Formats: sequence, C-alpha cells, structure tokens
Amino acid sequence: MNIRKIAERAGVSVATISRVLNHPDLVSPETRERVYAVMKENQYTPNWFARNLTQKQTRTIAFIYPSNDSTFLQAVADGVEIVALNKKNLVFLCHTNGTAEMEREYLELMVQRNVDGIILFSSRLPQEKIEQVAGLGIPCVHIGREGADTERKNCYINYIDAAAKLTDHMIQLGYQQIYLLLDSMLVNEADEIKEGFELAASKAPTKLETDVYVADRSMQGGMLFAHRMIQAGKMPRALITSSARQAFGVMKAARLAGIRIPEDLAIASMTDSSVSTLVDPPLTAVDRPGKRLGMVTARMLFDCIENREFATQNAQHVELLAKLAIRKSCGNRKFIYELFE
Amino acid sequence: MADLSVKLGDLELKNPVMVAAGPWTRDPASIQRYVDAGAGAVITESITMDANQASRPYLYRNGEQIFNTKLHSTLYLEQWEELAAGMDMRDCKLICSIWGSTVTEVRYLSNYVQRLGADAVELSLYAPIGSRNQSMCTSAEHIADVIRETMDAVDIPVMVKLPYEVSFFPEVLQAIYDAGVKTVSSIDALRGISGVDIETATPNMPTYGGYSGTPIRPVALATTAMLRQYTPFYICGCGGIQNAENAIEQMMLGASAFQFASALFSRGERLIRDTVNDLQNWLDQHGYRSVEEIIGLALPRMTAFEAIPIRPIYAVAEKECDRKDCDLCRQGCIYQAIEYVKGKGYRILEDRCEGCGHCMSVCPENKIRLGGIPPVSYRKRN
Repeated sequence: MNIRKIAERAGVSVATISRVLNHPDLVSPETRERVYAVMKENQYTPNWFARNLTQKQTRTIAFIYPSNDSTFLQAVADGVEIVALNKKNLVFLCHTNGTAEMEREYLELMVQRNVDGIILFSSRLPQEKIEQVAGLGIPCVHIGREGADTERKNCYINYIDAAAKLTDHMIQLGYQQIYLLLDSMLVNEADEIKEGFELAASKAPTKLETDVYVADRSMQGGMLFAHRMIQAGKMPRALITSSARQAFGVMKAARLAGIRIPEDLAIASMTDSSVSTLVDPPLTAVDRPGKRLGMVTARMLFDCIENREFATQNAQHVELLAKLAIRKSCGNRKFIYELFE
Repeated sequence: MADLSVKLGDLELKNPVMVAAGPWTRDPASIQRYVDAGAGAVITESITMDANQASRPYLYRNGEQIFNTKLHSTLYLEQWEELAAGMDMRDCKLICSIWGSTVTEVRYLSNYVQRLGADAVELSLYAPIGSRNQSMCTSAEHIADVIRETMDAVDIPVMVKLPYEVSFFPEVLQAIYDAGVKTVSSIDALRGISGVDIETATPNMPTYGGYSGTPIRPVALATTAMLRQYTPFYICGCGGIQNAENAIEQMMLGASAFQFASALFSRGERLIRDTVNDLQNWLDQHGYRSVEEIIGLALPRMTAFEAIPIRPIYAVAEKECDRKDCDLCRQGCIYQAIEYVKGKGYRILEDRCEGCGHCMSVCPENKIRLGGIPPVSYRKRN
C-alpha cells in the first residue's frame, strides 16, 4: 500500500494526503476523516510521519570530507548546507586531511553527538566500519563512486565521461601526443580519469602517443613535474592535468623555459578554478557541478532520515555529468569566447 | 453546452486550456492563479536538482517577439515541497516539468515530483538556452533510456516536451513512442537572438534566448499538423497562441490540448478565463457537442505539396486602382507583370503573370483576385 493508492481509494490527490499528514488543519474535516478511514481500512502507516513523531531527532547532520582547499569542495559544502537549512538542520563540517584516521575519529565523534545522518566524501574507511554506523540506525550517503557494488547510497560525478570528453576535445584539436598527469592524493577518481583518458585515446582516428604521470595536486607539484619533463626533453605536445593548480604550475615552468602555450604545449585540466580565466592563456577545464553534487547527496540523506516510503524506491546511485569550459590553453581557435560544452 | 473535456493520453482534462512550463509557473502561488482562473492543467517551470540563479534581465521583448534567458526553476526542491502543500489544485491537473543531466538524476526528480502530487511528469530533454551539454537529446537510444527509467520510477504518465528541431527526426520520435510516451508538448521556444546594435556591434542580449510569441505560431501549427499526421502521439500544441481562435486553429490541425506561454506576459491569468469562455461560446455557436470533435478537423483539407493541382490561373484586377501612393503590388511583382499608366491606373499584364498570388496578398483593399485562363499567346509560348 502506498500513498498514491490511498489517494486513489480516498478519491483525493496525493497532495491532499500529504496535507492531511503534515497540515491537517488545512484540510476540510470531511476529507480528513475520509482519508483517515481509508488509511485505517488499508492498514497504512506513513513511516516518515510516524518516525518524526516517535523518534527524537537532533536535526544535525555531519559532512565528513577530505580537503577544503578547493572551490569545488566549497561548492559541495554549500549545496549540502542549502538543503540542510531548507530542512531546518545544521551541518557539522569535518575536514579529515584525506586520512582514514581522522575520518574514523570524526565519524565516532559524530555518532556520539547523535547526528541524524552522515555524508562521507571519498571515504577511506573499510566497509565494516561503515556498516557498523549503519547498524546504529544512522544513515550514511557517500559522495564518490567507490563501493558502488555494495548497498551504499551514493552520488558521484562521472569522471570517466568527463575525462573522455576532455581527451576527445584534445584529439579533435589534432594533437597526436597527449599525456595525462594524475593527482597523487586521489585514488578512485584517478582511476576513473585514467579510464576515461584511455577510452577516448582508444577511439582516436589516428594512433595516439599517450603516457600517464603522477604528481602532487599543488602548483608546486605541477611545476616540479614540468621542470623534470623539460629537462628530460619529454614534454608532450598536449597535456591534461588532474588539477587546475597543477596546470598553473606547468604553465609557469613552461614560461620560464620559453615554451609557448598553446603553440608548443597545449594544456587542459580535469578541475576548474576561479582564476582559470585570469591566467594567460585562459585555462580549458572540466567544470564540475559541485553545488548540485552536495544538494543531491543531502537530499538522498534526508530521504533516509525521514525514512520516506519513496526513499527506498529511489535509485541508490545518482550520477552527475560535468561540462567542459573550453577556453584558450588547449589551443582552441574555433570558438572566440569561452564555451561550455 | 459543448463538452470541453479532453483525453490527453492517460490524463483526462476538464478542458484543453493548459499553461506551459515557464517563468509564469515559477512557484505554487503563480500556479494557483491559473488553477483559480479555470485552466485544465498547469505545467510547472522545469524543476531541477539545483535551483538556477536567474540571470537578470532575462526577458527581452521586441513587439510581438519575446526572448527569455531563464533556464529552469529558481526554487529548491524543498521549497517546492513546502509550498505545494498549500496548493489547491481542485479539478485542474498538475504537471511537473523536470530537467536532469543523467538518467539517475531524472529518475530521482520524477519520483520526487510524484510525491509532490504531480498528475504527470513532463521531461524537458532540451532547452534553447545554455550549452549543448545541457541537452539530453544526444541520441535516440539515450532518450529512450531516460524515458524508460522515468516510467519505471513513477506510476503517473510521462510526457515529453519536443523542441521544433527534434520533431523532424523520425527515429527520435519512434524511440520516444516505443519507450511508452503517449503525449508530447510541442513546440518548445526556438533559439534566437533579438538583434544587434550595429553602432556598437553589440547583440541586444548577452546569449541565445528562447524565442517565443506570435511570430512562432506558424511554426507551431506546422509542427502540430506534421506530428498528427506522422505519429500516434496526443499533442499539446504550444507556440505563439494568443487567444481561443489561435487555440482552435491548433486543435483543428491535430492538437488535443493547447498551452499558453508568453501570451501570459500580455494578459496574465485573465487569458485563461477568457479563453475557456470564448472556446465554450464558439463551440456552442457552431453546434459542436464536444471540443474533441474539432481535433484534426482541418487536416483533411491539407494537401501534400506534390499533390497540389497546377492550375493555369493569373491575377485579375477586380476594381480599378489609381493609388500611386500605395504601389505595393507593382513593387512586389517579381515578374514585372504590373504596370502603372498615368491617367489609367494599374494594369496587370496577363501574358507576364505567373499567378503567384503575391499582389493579391499584399493589396490593402482586396482589389485583386486570382482567376481566368491565360491568353492564348501565353499558352503558346510554353
């Protein structure tokens, strides 16, 4: 028995049922009684409603995330907070520095504080730990694709698609030598980026020369990488970096070495930055829907917290797509202005 | 009194008067106004996972031409949910338009709006505004996936908003139909730029906009006629409809219902009330028992281009004319078949006339008609 069937049998709309449950004062007494009668007759208990009445909630959620050093993470946190505030909830922001120890510590603290639910961003904890929390009746929703084979609810950006799109864009520009620079901090995303890169490369019309390197995600990481490549005479014609800051570092090193961008070295990044349009030439980058990621994840969490009947029917995984912000560093000359593709 | 109710796929509407998705249905309070005015169904502005900030300004008007650069709803899902609880739809159907970038997003949203109390979901697969990546119409296969997932997620009807461009692709239409969609709304706004200030070389608007209003009405009429002839869809005609008369035109070409959109900028919810009344009166005066009788009524009188009979007709002046100040017929005649003789007025040179009909259309006093048989000399020449 679901809310729709109740509505049907009572001869009213689902919205009316919703009102009877949430704001009975807004419904005429006859309708209200009729709906109650149909519910009773069909032994229908709206779980989410019952739970709100019976269970003490703290109206707090935790957002545990690896690093707060990017505008992207700020956008995700922003999205989480918007939904939480819409639900009159507060968010604990817990920054783990990307370590499993701090993540575990925060998780335990949050459980002690009786949060109603937890969002874990790129969690490094083993599945048993997660299940232990779930066993306490505290719902968790994950950001990131990992654990997709488990019972987890998660929301993620499709990095395979994003990397393939960006690589394909470079191939379309005619480059036959394209290297990929991964981020040493990332694990799962790096695998996806590599997969997308290789997927697009395998579909290239002509044979592509590719190689994959790893560096720290900072500007320093990009610079060191570029210095080494230049010294070894191995700098490729085109490079895709994992972070915008790596790209800025490469650009700086290239400038010092008299390498022109994009004429000698075309560059594009898997993440965007607020200063991408300020560097010269402006950086072509993947624009990720950070705020949407935060909002969708928070909604999935609140669906569990409110234990809505429809939360269980919903997909366990929600996938989001990123866009390309095509600027000039990739060697694009086709579009005069910045173009989101 | 003629029966106004119509069947729209699995939906029964009390009348065919609908309000299209757009900034005019941006929140439950706006929707309530159209419900109170007597609309048969109202479609929400497209609801998304993240509320877009509207760029300002987002409306550009140039006479009857209307352009907008507002993409989606600016309300969060939670706000829709909270506000929708206070809405009283009565016997009006609520259709929620949704947009998402992936199948899973659309699935989540459709489920959410069903819980809001939607009687149907309208999938927005494409928008004339924003980047190409926002479009879900990348392939027929992908569209079919999106629709099937949506249908699987809800048990209310799923409609699709068809942009003009998509109505030309039989394989896309087939995929949409095969996936189980019975009703389409057509057409979406066209992509347009209102103009360029040539002194400063600046476009009148910063990006492409959705172009709507009276000028796109002929496009919408042709699309309805085409869809009705080639597909089994129920059609919600949309595009440039200003009044009951325009709405009847849409229905006579095959629409089962029709949607008001930018006309609401001129007349607001009064347009709904007036149209319901005007439609009722017109049907009663013309002896129809049900509005469904007029659906597709004009279609049998359409002829395929290839089948139009070639008739040897030419322009004939029915009345003398000496209005040198007008001169529209002579100026517009590409066959130089009209001349002005001082003191005698305008004369049609029958042996030059090809019977194109331009002068007849352009004459402000209706002095010219098409008829007659060309003179012998003309026929000989060919």
